[in-house]
Amino acid sequence: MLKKLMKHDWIALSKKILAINIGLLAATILGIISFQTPLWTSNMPYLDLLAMLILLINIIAFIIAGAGVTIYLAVFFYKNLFTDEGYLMHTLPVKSSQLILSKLFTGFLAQILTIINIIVCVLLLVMGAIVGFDGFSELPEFFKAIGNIFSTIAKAMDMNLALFIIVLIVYAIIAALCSIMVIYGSLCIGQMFSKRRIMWSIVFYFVLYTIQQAVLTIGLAAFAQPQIEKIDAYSYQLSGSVVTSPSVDLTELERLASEGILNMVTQTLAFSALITALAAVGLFFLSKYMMDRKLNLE
Amino acid sequence: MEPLVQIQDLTKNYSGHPGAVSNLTLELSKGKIIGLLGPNGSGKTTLIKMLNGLLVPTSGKILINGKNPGIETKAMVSYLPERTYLQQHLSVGEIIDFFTDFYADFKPDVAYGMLQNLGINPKDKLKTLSKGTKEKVQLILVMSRQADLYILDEPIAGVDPAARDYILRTIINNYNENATILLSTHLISDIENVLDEVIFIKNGSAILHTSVDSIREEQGKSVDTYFREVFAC
Repeated sequence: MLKKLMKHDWIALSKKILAINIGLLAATILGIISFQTPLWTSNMPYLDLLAMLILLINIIAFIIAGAGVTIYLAVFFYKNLFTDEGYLMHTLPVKSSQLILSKLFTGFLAQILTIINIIVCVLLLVMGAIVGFDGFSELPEFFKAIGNIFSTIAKAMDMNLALFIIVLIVYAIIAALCSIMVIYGSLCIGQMFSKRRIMWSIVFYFVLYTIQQAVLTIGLAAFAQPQIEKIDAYSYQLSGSVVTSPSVDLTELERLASEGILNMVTQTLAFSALITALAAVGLFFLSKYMMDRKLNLE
Repeated sequence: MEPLVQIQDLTKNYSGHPGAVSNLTLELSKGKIIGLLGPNGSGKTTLIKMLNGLLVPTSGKILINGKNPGIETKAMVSYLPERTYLQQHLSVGEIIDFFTDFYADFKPDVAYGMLQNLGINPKDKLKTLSKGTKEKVQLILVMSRQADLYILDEPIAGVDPAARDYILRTIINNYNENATILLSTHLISDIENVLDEVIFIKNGSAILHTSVDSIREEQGKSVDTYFREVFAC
């Protein structure tokens, strides 16, 4: 049944998600074309205005793609489960957990596809600007620079590039799922109220978000503190040893200090992922409880 | 014979509005068309929502074919709410696909047959249809299931008299004869000829559950007239 729910949810979602992303792509193409014209280099006032207009269109398209998809997911969840359509959805022979999971997975897919589209559009715009202003010959330099950024970050974390990307992707997936569950959880709480349900949903979105961030911040502070103290101690020895104790192995202290930083970053990332995953699971069960025991259809 | 629906001491209190349904006890037999009749706010829709698992009772018990409301009962209950509950951007054909996917007892050929009889194009989007046509589409979907229990909440409210006749004919001609239909309405005179039994509900309690024939024989009145007497303001 989950597959069938996902199929129908995706049919309902995909048209608008596709329209938003095609709109972003069209704005990007417009931007790229503008870079190949004298629009951005000319001093003519009307051309300046046109350039500003194209810039504005691109900014709006990126905002709609970034925030619009998330808002649309919230609207779809609320409308499909807590308004008139809920009378059908909640009388289907399916579990409430399947209703939530279907919307979680299809919403996640919509967000991921949009994020990929946003990244591709940013890259295309930058490449379009490079080609327009400096010519094709500068493109290899751009790709090299991007490669260098990733290698530098990976090197700093003492990991190979592939592992670093995997860690980032796993964390991004958990964070994206949790961000959707915060929205769904707040809508499930908001629907309990007989009046101003949207307003209460927004209030509880900020409440849930703040709780999650507070737990994350406190947890991270507690987690990172011992590592920070270790790094401080090594750094102190490292600075003092130059004058007071020339026999201290400086290379070893440097290695211990950088290892401390590395441990801190790795553990922080893992801890964040754990807290975020726990929050997502907690919100899932909260939403399920609300649907099973506190459903309040209009 | 084991009743299809058993309701025992059922109570639903809303915060600030106690007693939407209060200590209600009922048994619904198989193979009957039963009218659930009562004035506005008497608890009909609350009872129907609890039967469909859309509301959790404050206390008491509901059993449908021996099961508590849940996934199993949802598979055997065909429910028509008193509102348009379909996604408006879908075409009628897409909605039929939706029902086919989720309800094992749904017969798409029966649905397409009824649509053809009414001249409704399956390719039409629901949002382009009139209110009356949307209600007919919903009724066609609900009656195209071979369910054990049909629960129809105000199926003829808001449609013209000609459409009412069609809807009643559709109900009579299409329901599974071993099944029970629970039909809630204010328009008693329009439906009383198709009813086997009636339940009068007042302030969340069943004050009468009897056969239509016994009202006619014992009271010498139509159900509509008797209802007006019982619920006179």
